[in-house]
Amino acid sequence: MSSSTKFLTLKTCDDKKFVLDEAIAVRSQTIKNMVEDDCVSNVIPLPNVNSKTMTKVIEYWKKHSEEGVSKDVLMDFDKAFVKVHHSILHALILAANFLNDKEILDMMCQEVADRIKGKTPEEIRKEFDIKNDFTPEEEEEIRKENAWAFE
Amino acid sequence: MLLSRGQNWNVNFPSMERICATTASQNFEQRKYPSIEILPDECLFEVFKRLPSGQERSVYACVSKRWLMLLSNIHKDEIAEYNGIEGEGYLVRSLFGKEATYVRLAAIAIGTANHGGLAKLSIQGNNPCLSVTDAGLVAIARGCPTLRDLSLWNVSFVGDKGLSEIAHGCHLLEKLDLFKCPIITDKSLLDIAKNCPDMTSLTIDSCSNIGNESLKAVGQYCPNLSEPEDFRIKEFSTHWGSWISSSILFSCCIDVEDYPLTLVASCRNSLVSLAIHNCPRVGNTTIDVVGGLCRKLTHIDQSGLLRITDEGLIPLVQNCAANLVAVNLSRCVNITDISVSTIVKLNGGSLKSLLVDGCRHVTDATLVEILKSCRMLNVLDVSKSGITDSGSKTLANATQLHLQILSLSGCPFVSDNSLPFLLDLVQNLQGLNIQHCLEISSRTVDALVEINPICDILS
Repeated sequence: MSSSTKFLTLKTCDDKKFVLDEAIAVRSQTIKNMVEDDCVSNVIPLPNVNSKTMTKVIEYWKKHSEEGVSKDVLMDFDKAFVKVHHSILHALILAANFLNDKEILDMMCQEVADRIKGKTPEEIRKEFDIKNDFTPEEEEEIRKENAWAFE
Repeated sequence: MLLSRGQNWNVNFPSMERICATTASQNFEQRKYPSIEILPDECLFEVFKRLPSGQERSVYACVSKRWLMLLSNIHKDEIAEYNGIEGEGYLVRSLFGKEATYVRLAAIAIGTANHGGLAKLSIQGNNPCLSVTDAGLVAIARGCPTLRDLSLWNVSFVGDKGLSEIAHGCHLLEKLDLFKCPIITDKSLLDIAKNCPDMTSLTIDSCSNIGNESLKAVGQYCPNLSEPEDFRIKEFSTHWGSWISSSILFSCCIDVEDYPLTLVASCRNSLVSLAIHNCPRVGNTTIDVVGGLCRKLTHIDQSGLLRITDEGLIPLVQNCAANLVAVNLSRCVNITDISVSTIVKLNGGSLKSLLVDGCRHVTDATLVEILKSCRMLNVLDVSKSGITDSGSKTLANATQLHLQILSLSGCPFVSDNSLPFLLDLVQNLQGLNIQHCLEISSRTVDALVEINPICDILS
């Protein structure tokens, strides 16, 4: 597309800097908009993303930008990519949401959904660290209304 | 946070304290990292959209309030694997008082959506702490496209947002009954009028912010959705109290575009029941207009219209095609025998219920007309009217009638002299009200009770 490679510097919330080929960085719609609107100075701050998460994101971007990679290889890569701890998964969703990268967002949300599927409310609360904020009466009401689903 | 979690778990599982302690500390460790709770609603939405519909969603809704509310707020068409029911729902839910919470509504929305479909929802009153709010109705609107009948009584925190969502989500709505919903305005009723073409019954009672605009809309939009003769608003009642101004009603008679002319005009072929009660400013002019247009009325309820007189009423009943079944003119204190006799005379073959409680100018003359004309009358309320012992004699002679309910309550001129006639009457009655009849003694009452112990006698 362009003959000369342009580089962008991304700065995460923990002050780490990542220098990246612009052609790869614009997989983020947020960064793409900034580039197109010409509001990119030297460094693009990413106040909502930490370096650990950004490393993962860039790993994904680079893999999916490589030339000559077969579909199977990419699928295997994606499979391995989502096998991370819940906390990283959630951080990646937040980052993908902020960077507006629908591909990563879709993949990660699907993974969370897959991890939820088939579990009981108690298992979900325990696994995802969610507080049960229903009063006992409320919980009974909901269980009653949805009792058929637990049969 | 940590403490409250521990307490909460202890309440539910008293024997698991040790496990709770370890879980809690693990959770504390994890708190350093983002938990699923830190995801904003929009991201959780994305996750939930990817969950299968139906049974499993009902399970996930039990996780926490936030999950319940988010799950219940997802539009059907946003769900990736939607396989919920379409078409006819059959479930009925009624919530009273403290049951009526938004949590409960969201639970109903999720629970019924994939298990039969909600057909009818009735909410009466609020939970004082967790009252029904728009969020609850939004959940119903999104989860229950099969809803056909909605009643909101005394629901003070539901406003236009909730009802507009219903209008957009529940296109099959046929009946809407609003009673004492103070923050619902014309805006959402306009949406109902525009989006629910199957509406057949609309009742608005004591809703202080609903006015002419929405009622005009009902007249304007609903006929556009189908041929005017198919316009199926069959029952319309309102209870505005005194705030509707006589000038608006007066202008109705000049400006054909205005309510109630538009409404009545557009449903004149179908309107069978008209109720305008306790609107002290409604007078003959309105009644006249209605009378000129509605020819298929079978039910008229104009109780408490203090200003209407015979002059207004007679043209109305003359225009109806002589098939009135129920007429309630209670507390229309200015009407007399002239109009009531006319009603009886013209509708003797169909009239089953006549209520003229408090019409003191209604006298024995009306009863004579009943004797001559009525064949179907079951219920007669002539409380606080001007009838006398001679009137009860007339009624006792009306052997063709099968009166079941009779009220002579508070009739000052009915006395013990009526006893022989009442003895005749009471044999076939199911209910007789002779309260506040000062000239009727307890001996008379005893005699009546003795002759028909099954009859419910109020004295």
